[in-house]
Amino acid sequence: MSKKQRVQSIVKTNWRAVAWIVGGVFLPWVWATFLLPWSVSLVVGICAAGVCMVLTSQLAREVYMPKRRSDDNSISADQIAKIRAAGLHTLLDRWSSISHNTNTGLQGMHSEIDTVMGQTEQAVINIGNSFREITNKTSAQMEYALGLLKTTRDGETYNKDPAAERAESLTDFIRSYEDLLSHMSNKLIHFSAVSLDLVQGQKKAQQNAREVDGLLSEMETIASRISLLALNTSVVSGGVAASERAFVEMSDKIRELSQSATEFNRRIRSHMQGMKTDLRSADESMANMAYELKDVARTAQTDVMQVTMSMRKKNKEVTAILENINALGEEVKQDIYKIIMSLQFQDITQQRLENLKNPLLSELSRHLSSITDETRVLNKKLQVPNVKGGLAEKPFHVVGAQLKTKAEPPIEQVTPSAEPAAVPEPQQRVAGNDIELF
Amino acid sequence: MAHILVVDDSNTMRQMVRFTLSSVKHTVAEAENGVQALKLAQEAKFDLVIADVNMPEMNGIDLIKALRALPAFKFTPILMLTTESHAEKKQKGKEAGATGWIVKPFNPEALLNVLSKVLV
Repeated sequence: MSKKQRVQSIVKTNWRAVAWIVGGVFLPWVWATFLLPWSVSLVVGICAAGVCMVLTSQLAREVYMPKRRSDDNSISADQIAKIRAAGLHTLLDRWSSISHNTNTGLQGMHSEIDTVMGQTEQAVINIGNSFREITNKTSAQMEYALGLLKTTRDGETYNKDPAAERAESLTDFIRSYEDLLSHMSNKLIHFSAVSLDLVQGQKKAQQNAREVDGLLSEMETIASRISLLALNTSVVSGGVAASERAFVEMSDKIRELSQSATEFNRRIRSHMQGMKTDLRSADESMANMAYELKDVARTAQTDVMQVTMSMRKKNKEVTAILENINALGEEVKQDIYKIIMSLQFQDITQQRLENLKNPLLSELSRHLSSITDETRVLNKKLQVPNVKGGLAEKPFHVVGAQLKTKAEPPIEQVTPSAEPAAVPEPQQRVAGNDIELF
Repeated sequence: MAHILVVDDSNTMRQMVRFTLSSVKHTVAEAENGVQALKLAQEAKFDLVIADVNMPEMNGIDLIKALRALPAFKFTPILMLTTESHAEKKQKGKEAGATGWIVKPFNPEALLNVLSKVLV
């Protein structure tokens, strides 16, 4: 706004004062110079001139020093300064409050982040330890399992003490057991062959006995014939005149029968000899087999006892190893459970930070928006009196100690609560033991 | 062996629960939020539901109420698996029809013990 415009504005605004000067002071003075004595007219003129000077100086001050404008609703410069100070003070209070609330929230967030970082670190350490433990235990399990099967385990003992071979590994034990069974089966095959020989010998003896029985029947026949011949001889000898020829024939018959009996005796002796031989052979075979059976039985008993002892020992070892493997498996399961618990912290961390972040940022955003608006308004208000050479276009209205405009809501409406923003407290819990069934 | 519905917006949590339940031969179906879970529940029958509380679209409490409205899920055990441990929240879950409340992080062994109790 130019100076001319400002003067016009001031004159337009202060036309009453100009009219008062002209109508209330100058015109009465002109009238008084014609009607009143010169002395009175002089005094009135001097007064009118003084009033004009005062009013003129006032107008000039309005033109060049608009800040010092005053009317019924106006306030002094000191009051304006106080109002500014009060506005600034209020604004600073607001900023301070927001800062305090934000700081409290940030402290909570800091604490929560520290907690989360600690838990995350602990979770990572737990996971690492669990994996290491799992690796170690799985390796131990494999070693135990291989020890049961490999013959290379404790090789020095294997070489030094063959008896300990059976107790060293499952493979060795199985091999020894197979050797023992093979040896016993070979013996059984041998005994079966000897038994077959015995059966053959007995069959031969039975055949010889049958033949001897036949020969004995023949001898009985011969004996009865000899007896008959003897009877005939006695009958013939009872006759007086038996012919000589008949005696010769009878004598030949008796000789033949005697030769036959001799032959039968020889054959019987031969068969009897064969039977004796067979029986002796069978007896010897049986005796040998009995001895061998006794030895085999003793050996088998010893072997079975050794095998049983080895089996018991091996069973104990296998049981112990399986218990170790089982225990390691259980520990591995617990390690995996720890990993599962540790991995859950990702979700927990996310939810905690979300719960913390959202209300804090929302509260901060709301307060900052409010206070920014207020600051802008106050800044605008503070800029109004700085217009040089003119009056305030939008004068301040003082209500008590508060500075406000009609268009804006009262400051109290956007003043934040005295309490800081609600910040979730960090929760320190013992993991995994908070379960409730309704 | 039971057929179990696991509802959680965290993929990590779903995997952990699946791993734990699969170790004892339970079969698992997964849903990321209450809406998905409700859809699955309308399509299949489950022996147990394990749900988080804070989830997008439909939270765990609303899911319980919706499930309890279905005849097939009127008596089905529903366990809440959540980071929330406030009594007020627990009470809301109980009133909605939850069978139990498990606070994360869960111990797999403890979870399996609870399952053996509620799956009788």
